[in-house]
Amino acid sequence: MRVEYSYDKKLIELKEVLNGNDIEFFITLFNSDLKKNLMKVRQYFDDNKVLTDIHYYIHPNNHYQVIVRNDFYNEFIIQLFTQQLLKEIKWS
Amino acid sequence: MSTQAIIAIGVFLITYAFIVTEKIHRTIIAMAGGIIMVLLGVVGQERALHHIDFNTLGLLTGMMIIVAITAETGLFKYIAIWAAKKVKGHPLNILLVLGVITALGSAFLDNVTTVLLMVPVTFSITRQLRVNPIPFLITEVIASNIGGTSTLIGDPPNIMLGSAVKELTFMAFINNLTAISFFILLINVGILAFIYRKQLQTSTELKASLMDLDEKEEITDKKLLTKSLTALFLTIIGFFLHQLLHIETATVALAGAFLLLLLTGEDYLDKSFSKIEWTTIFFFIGLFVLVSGLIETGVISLLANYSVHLTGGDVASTSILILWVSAIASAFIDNIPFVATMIPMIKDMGELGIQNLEPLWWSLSLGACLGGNGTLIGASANVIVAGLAAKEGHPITFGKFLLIAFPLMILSIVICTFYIYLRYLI
Repeated sequence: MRVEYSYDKKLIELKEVLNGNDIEFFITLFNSDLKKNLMKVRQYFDDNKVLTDIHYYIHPNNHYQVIVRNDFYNEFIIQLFTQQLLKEIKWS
Repeated sequence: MSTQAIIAIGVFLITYAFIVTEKIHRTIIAMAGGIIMVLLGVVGQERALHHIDFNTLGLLTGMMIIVAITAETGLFKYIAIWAAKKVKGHPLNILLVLGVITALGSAFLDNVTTVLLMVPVTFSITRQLRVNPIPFLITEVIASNIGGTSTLIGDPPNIMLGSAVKELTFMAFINNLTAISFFILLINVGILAFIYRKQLQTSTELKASLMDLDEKEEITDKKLLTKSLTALFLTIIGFFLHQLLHIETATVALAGAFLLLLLTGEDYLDKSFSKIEWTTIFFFIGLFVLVSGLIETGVISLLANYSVHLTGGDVASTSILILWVSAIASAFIDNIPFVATMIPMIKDMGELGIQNLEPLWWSLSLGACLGGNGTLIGASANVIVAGLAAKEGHPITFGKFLLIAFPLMILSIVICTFYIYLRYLI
């Protein structure tokens, strides 16, 4: 079961597209203070033993690209929520 | 041969057999073998402690602390992305530059550490470009073992050689092994690029996406980076000057490590100590004690005697024999216990009348380090990368690796044969 989410469009823009079997997120932060929150999401996945759970790419001007392995989709969304980058999540 | 010598051979061979089968962790086996040597009275505790090379252990520990802290800064991700952008995101060129970066890293850091730093960023770059990561991982493994050959601190066999033989200083390794190692690296990486050239294609859009990455943002802590680079730089300078300053390499590495801890504060003390590979440190301790049993009972002298008899004491034949036997043995068994056994044997050969030991030492180093490239189990870096790749859904089979790497290893040893012959034997 997957999760649905919503976010504050004044603070963040979030677009997801399919990339092979994985899901690719394009994230733009409108408030630079949120960089550290997104960094914590990355750190969470860096700290586990899986190397291909998410791939995190930093582009200029607070643009981020994250390729999330299909089986880590929910965990990624939950981490975004934990770091207050999402307003709400619910089971779809 | 005395009863003690026969017991020593028995304990050594059984321990070795268990290490090769890998059924039980090699550290447990090596320590058990060493303790049995002492318990059976083959070697006394005092003598056993005397044979433990604390310079090797200190050097490894110091470098592990420096790397553990430096890895926190994001430096290695920065370098990999920067290099990938420099070659315009072209996969084939990225394969080449990541190979060279891995070799350079392995020349100054432990091979396993280097590949552990390179593998995550390799997965990241290859995923973005949608290319198969396996050619990159195989190239990095091979480059790591070749790069490690080039310096005293690059690979455990060299660390052991540098510790055991006073003449083999940091600069001696640079003068004798660096150029040949990088020549072999270029040949190997060039051949790998040729083999994989058709697999390494990507689209213009994906390349553009990679080119748009901001590698500077990968540096997570600039203050820590400055401190780490300062300590690393001073440590490397220390290695270059250690002979001139009359200090051992372990002192240099530990001074660098504790200078860095002094600069970073105790926050990093527990973290960096937890990243020291204690299993490797104790593996060495076990092996030193195990081999001490063979030395103290005269078995090593007998083997040296036999080898000298076999080659007639001729330096050229002995060097080439050591080079090839080391390479083939290291392709299938751990090169650390092999070198631990060979060092006292070569020293004994000196006492038996071989005047010029220099080509023998370099033959041992080249054979033992480069031989590890022959098979998937030939070196720790190979095993680690294969394990990570399999876990992430990209298995590198024993056969697949053998097919690519074994001929490359043989080619490398052929080049070394010419090098040893032309430089030292005519």
